[in-house]
Amino acid sequence: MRPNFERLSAVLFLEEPPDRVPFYDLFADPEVVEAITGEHLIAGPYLGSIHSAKVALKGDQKAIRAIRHDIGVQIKFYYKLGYDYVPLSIPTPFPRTNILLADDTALLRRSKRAWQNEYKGMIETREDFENYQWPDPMDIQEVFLFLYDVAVKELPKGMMIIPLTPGGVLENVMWLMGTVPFAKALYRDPILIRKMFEKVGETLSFYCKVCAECEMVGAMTMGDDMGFRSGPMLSPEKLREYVFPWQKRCVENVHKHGKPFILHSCGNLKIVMNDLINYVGIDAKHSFEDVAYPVTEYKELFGDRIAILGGVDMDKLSRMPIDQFKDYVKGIIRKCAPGGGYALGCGNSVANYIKLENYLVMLEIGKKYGRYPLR
Amino acid sequence: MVCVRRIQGIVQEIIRTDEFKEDEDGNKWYKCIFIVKLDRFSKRTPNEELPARLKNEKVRIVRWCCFDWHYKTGIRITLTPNETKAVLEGRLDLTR
Repeated sequence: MRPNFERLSAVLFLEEPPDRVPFYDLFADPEVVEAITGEHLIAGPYLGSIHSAKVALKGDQKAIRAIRHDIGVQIKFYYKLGYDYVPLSIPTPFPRTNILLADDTALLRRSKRAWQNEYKGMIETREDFENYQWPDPMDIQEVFLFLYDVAVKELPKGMMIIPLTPGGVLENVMWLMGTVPFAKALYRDPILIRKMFEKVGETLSFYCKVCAECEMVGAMTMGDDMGFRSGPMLSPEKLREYVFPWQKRCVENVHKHGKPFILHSCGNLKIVMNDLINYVGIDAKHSFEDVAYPVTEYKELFGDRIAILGGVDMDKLSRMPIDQFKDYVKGIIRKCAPGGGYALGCGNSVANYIKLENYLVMLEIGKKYGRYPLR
Repeated sequence: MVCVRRIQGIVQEIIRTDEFKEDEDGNKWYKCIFIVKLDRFSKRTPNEELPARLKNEKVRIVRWCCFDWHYKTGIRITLTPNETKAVLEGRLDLTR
């Protein structure tokens, strides 16, 4: 079956897709892309931050060739596996050094895995805030439009682009401040907190506007992890005060162009789902985990109001024996696909620790067992 | 982006006929009559209201079904743009 973005578009508008259940994943780890395509990704060193990308694009031919190469490889990956879009993201506009490195134990391991330092922030005080090198929105626009133009030239017929925000509203604030300093500042320095959300929110909503204006952009995704297994990381009141208004502005900037907005957010968010649907205005929710917030439950509770995407559990993708896994994936299709509004995919992302065998069989089942009644 | 409105409804009943076709994998797809109770336009046209005369009206449409999950009733179904046009013109039996 050829790529046809209408499959995913129909799902995001809560319709049945024209032929089979489409695939949706937030992104695939570079190691997986390399394993599937047999090609190496080489542009990483030039894409550390918006600033370094902008410098590279100002005439470093080696960097430009590397970026073109990598976008081509990414498109090849998504096309080959049967996706109808390619995700496109920019380097972070909020670079930080408060990260910890550890050995990676994944099946397709990378040299080091990065973790957030929860106890230390780049910005812990108002002075840090003033000294931080905040991004120039024009740099963000310039870098995105360059990547977009490269992608459009390579894009196979029928595919579209789904840009991904470089982190979300809450994520970027918590990453920059560190979890513990952020939690303290929530009560000790609400002015700093407000300023942080304004800076991050303005930047991301501007980015959403730039992306949504582009013709070959079919939808927009924001990844903004807001919770853990039992609930959100902030109280609903704090989310309503600081986070949702900025997410809403991002959604509005995308809806202005008639395009749907996908929210990827890990965590059990049942307590704030009505806020996300009615106030923020999301069109689709992505990220599910069977032990705490299973996709089948969210489909039943919210599937008549928003599209439900992915949800094939990461633990089962990583460890379940293949025969059992096949039945498990069929079970998800059986519960989520009837009536449309559902796209098949991983519960979180195509991470380098999942079994490729399971991932590929999930897509094969989607292509065969995920076919809709013929019209 | 093409924006063609599509009516949606809830599947009330599925009548399987004996007529079938086989696909490239040897699966049999049976011709079925779906009886659908209309309720709204899809989210593609969020501001459009279904005409009152069509609300809760039942239409008969054809679908070819193969897998167990295709036979679920009580679920939402989306009419094609052509089916939507026919229904808006007043045709409620689209099986002929």
